This record gives sequence, C-alpha cells and structure tokens, in this order.
Amino acid sequence: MLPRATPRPERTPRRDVVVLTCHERRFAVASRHIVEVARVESYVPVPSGSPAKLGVVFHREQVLPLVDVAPLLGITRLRPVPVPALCVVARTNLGDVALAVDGVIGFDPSAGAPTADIPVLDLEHLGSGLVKERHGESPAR
Amino acid sequence: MPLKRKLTPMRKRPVSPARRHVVFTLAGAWYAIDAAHVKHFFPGWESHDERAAFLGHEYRVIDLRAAFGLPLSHEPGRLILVVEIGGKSAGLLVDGLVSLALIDPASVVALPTVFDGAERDWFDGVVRLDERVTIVMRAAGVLASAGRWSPLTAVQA
Repeated sequence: MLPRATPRPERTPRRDVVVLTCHERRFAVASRHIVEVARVESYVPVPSGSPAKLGVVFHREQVLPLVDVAPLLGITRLRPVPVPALCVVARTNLGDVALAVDGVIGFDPSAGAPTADIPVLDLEHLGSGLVKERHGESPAR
Repeated sequence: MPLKRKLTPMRKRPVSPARRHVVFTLAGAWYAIDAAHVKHFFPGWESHDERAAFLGHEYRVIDLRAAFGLPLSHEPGRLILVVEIGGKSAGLLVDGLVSLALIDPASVVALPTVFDGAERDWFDGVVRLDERVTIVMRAAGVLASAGRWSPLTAVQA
C-alpha cells in the first residue's frame, strides 16, 4: 500500500492584502479597500498643513485627494512625487483617495508566510493613526 | 379695423449665478478669487516687505507663497492684489495674473474630506477653467487667517 501523500503546504498568495512600495519600502493595503490602480498625468497641489496631502486629481470625472504614502509610513521623501504618478485608488473612511505609490508588487507574495516587517495602512481610520498593524500580526491571520 | 396687438410682458432675463473671478498664478497653479473683493492690483516686490502703500492707503502684504507654505520666490513681475472684505483689507502677493473668468458656484467642486485643516477656510474648492484645474479661494477665510500667519511657515526655495 502506497503511503498517503502528505498534503503540500498552501502556496497560493493570500489575497486579503496587496503589497505596494514607496521609497523602496514595502507596505500593504487590505485588498477590499482597493478600487483600482491608475496612472494620473498631473495633479493640482492644494496648500495644507500636512505633507501627506499633496493635492487633488481629476479621475473619471471625480475629484480625488492625492495622498502621499511616504509621510504615513514615517518616510521623509527626498524628491517630490513624480508625475505621471502611479496611484492606488482606495476606499477609506474619508471617501475615495488616490494614494501615490512607487510600485505595486501584487497580492501578498509571501505565499502565506507572515512577513511581519510590512506595515498595513489602516484606511478605515484615516486621520487617526494610519499604521494599524504589522503584516502578520493581524488577529485574522 | 385696427389690429389689436396683444402686448406680452417682457420676460426677465435670468440672472446668471456666475461670478466674475480674478485668476492668478501661484507656484505654477491657478487660483481664482471673487473679483468683487479685489479693489486694485499693482506691481509687487520682494516678499519680505510687510506693508505697501497704494493710492494713499497702506496695506499689509501677505505673500501667499509664504502663507500657504509654498517655496518662496524672488522672481520679478509679481503682483499685489488689494483685497477688501468685511472691513478687512490686505495686499496678497501673487506670481501673476491669468485672466478674469466667470465661475458658476455650482461648478465648484468642494475639497475632498481629507482636506480638513486650515485649507477649508482658505479654499471653496476646485473648478475647471480652460481645462486647467483652478483652486477657488475664499477671500474672507484667507484674510481671517492673515493675523495668525508667521513667516516661519514659509519654505525656502
């Protein structure tokens, strides 16, 4: 009798978060928040007291705020956000927001293994502490 | 038999809600301010001058670049817009004039909720003018904030 094959560990990437990059740092956003990834040709800077609030973009006949992720991750941006800018349009507690990012890696590439060094942006509480947890520390995992 | 002409009352032309705005530039972006509040404009100078006299009146000069935390500019050709509203007046130092434009308040899109700071007092929202997205300024809000501004908020270019 042949021994039963041991089931192979699950290697499919988790789909509950999307991993993105900003200034060569990885961070994650819960995929349920993501509306689309878009490239915006330009934006209008709106003066504000916050370095994260870059301005507004007209996207699909909608005015969206353009938010720089770098200050939210504690990164000091050494160069301005380039235009055209790669953006992740995300649904947040403050409405739809265009997050300026450097790159999209995709669904969690760790294939299930926790990667505790990737912060997850808390888009349900924008304005009250944005980094909720470290990827891998969530009770849901 | 004389023809009796029935006189029809003249229909009043509907008053357009659009208001004339002065469109100016600041750090590469277009801004609009209600022209009813703009009394004069005259050539500006170095942004560190705090007062300017024009037609016998002295005005406090607010460099909008400094006030909004934008990089300062020492380019020649800047202008001072004399703005008066609610008994307050000031000279707003801007980069240049673009045009006069009619803006219907209904076409102004409010700033997204993310902008929840002083910018809510400064700006009504944004509007498309000649395919350019233009920030519509609230003169009253800007002048009200003027007393709280300090040159320390300025960012050196």
